[in-house]
Amino acid sequence: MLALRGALIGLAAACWAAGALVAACGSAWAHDFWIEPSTFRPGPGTAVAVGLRVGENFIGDPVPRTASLIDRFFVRQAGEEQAVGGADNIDPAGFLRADGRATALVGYTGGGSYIELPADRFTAYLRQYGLDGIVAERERLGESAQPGRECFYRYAKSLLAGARADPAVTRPLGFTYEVVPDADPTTGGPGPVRGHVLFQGRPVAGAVVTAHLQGQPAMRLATRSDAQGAFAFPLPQGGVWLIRSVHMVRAGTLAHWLHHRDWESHWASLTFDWPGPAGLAGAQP
Amino acid sequence: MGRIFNRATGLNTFGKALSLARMAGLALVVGLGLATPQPSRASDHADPTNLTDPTANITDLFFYPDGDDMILIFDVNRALLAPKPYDLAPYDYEIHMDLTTPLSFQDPVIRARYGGTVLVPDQIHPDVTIKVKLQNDVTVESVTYTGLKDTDKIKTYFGVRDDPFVFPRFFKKNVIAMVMRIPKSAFPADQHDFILWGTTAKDGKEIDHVGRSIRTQLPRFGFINTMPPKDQLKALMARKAKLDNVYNYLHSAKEWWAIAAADFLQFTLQLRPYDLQPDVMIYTDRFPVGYPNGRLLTDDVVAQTCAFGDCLLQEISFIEGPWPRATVNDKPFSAEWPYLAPQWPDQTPAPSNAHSVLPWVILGVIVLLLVSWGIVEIIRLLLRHLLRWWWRRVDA
Repeated sequence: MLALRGALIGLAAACWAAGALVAACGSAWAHDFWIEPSTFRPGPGTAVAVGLRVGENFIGDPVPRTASLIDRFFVRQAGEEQAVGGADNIDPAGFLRADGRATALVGYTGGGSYIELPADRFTAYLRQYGLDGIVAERERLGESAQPGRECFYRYAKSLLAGARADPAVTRPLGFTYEVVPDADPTTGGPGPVRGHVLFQGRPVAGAVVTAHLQGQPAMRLATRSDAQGAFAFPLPQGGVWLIRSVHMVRAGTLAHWLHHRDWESHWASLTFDWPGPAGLAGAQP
Repeated sequence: MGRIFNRATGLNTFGKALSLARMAGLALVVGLGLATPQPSRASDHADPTNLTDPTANITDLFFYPDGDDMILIFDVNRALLAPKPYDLAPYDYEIHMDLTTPLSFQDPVIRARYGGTVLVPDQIHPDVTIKVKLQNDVTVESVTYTGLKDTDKIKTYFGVRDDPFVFPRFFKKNVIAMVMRIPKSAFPADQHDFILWGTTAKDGKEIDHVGRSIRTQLPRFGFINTMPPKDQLKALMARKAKLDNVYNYLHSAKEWWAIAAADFLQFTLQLRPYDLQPDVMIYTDRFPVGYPNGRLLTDDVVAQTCAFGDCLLQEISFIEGPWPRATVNDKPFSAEWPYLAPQWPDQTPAPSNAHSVLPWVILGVIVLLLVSWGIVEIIRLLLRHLLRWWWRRVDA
């Protein structure tokens, strides 16, 4: 029990330390987080620099690699999972060698970063990201006038197109929160891009999911997931797209008392190059 | 870096830290060097390497158009001043060209550093190979062309010429030069893009490699000198992952000297984000010629590579040369064949180094063995007395 308490206190300290770091970094608070590789269509055997980005509307600042904040950073390709290596404090955060035969999936989980915002800013932030349920919950608990205290966690995925589509990219990775496409979107094709949002493996209903086109900040599509956690975007044009969603839950009692945090937010993203409704000439399904 | 030290120690110990960092870094570098086998003879122009095979030591690769021809210059044997004959006969000098692996010129950053991006690096292969065998008097024994047409129209020169590298250490020195004027008609029609590299080999074993100038002579690239270009990227990525792990481990430690060692590793052996490209020279006629799009004799590649992050040779040129730094060769190049300036007069080679560090190494080993023996003896005696004391207590 003593060891458990020590570990929890340690976790709290790490969270506070990360919070201090975030505070020092100013704007690096809970914004969208995504993976931006040097190319979304690497040739076989090429080196791909894997950048991490934080920002809004698919305009982001580079996030240098910080090993202490990374839980998992890997690539799945050709049926194998490999760690994405890189040097601390450097952007791009990682490097991988593309297999190129089929679509590769790059995954990143990390976070545990603490943030505390004044009540009005916290409410505005909740509304901005469609977390109206949390606003209502704070009202019900009589916390609306209190500062918002949360830890945020990041779950980013990116698809690197290969010579053929890979159905493996439609399987959940087991992230706490994740955007899972129903089909490999890198080959394009008619019809909307469909997917699901899953929290701890279960579909999330009513989650706001948005899609953003790289280089066109005004291009923003938004929808809510249905009861099965499903969403669909009729993407208007080809290009590099970011689909993202944020899900917030009440922190557990232990976390509340030991770590002084009330909420935990989970930020999921998926980036990929969608060739458009006509698809890729020569791409194999 | 000072900020890091101050943060780690809470004191302004930068000066002391730096000297200790050097020791820690040296130990680290030695350790890494021992842990990872290095080709002992691989080198480029300014490599601090074993010089027992100077005639295998590639010093330059130039490639540029001149009218209806392509000019190819391949030099070996740096800092040459000794008179003939040389030990050239056992070596194979080869220049390779890949004319078919696709290149991209879309990424301006990669184009600025490497001339272009090889889209499928593990498929780099020689479509053209020019193999030269020289006799010890620098006359040609044989030249074989593979993959070229109109080879009877290729003009060649083999001889001793001025070292064309714009770098003080090699001023007033010669090289063994191989110059070729290859008609464009020797290549496939509409050939716009070229991937080139050169090698030297002895008894079929590759000794040295050259691609883009000032690449493999940087200390962090020594290990790819004996590797074909198609294997280099994989090896570079594996090495980068290994060194990144070492760096991250050291840099995340609380001890200041570990952070110092990480910083030392960073600017010496750790591969940079822009290093993950095969070591080949890229030339395309889509853009003006000049390093890194091919290489002209007049290119000041030392300054050009420094502008993009690798300044080792720039620093050495300041250390060894006057100010301002020389930006042109010490002898003007010729507009006429064979373009390289005439050789400097032969000189009697300077006597080789006389003193040896080997006795000191042997002495150090002996002292280490004696001290180790002494420590073991002391421990053994202490243990024996301890056991006897304990046994007497038990017996009592």
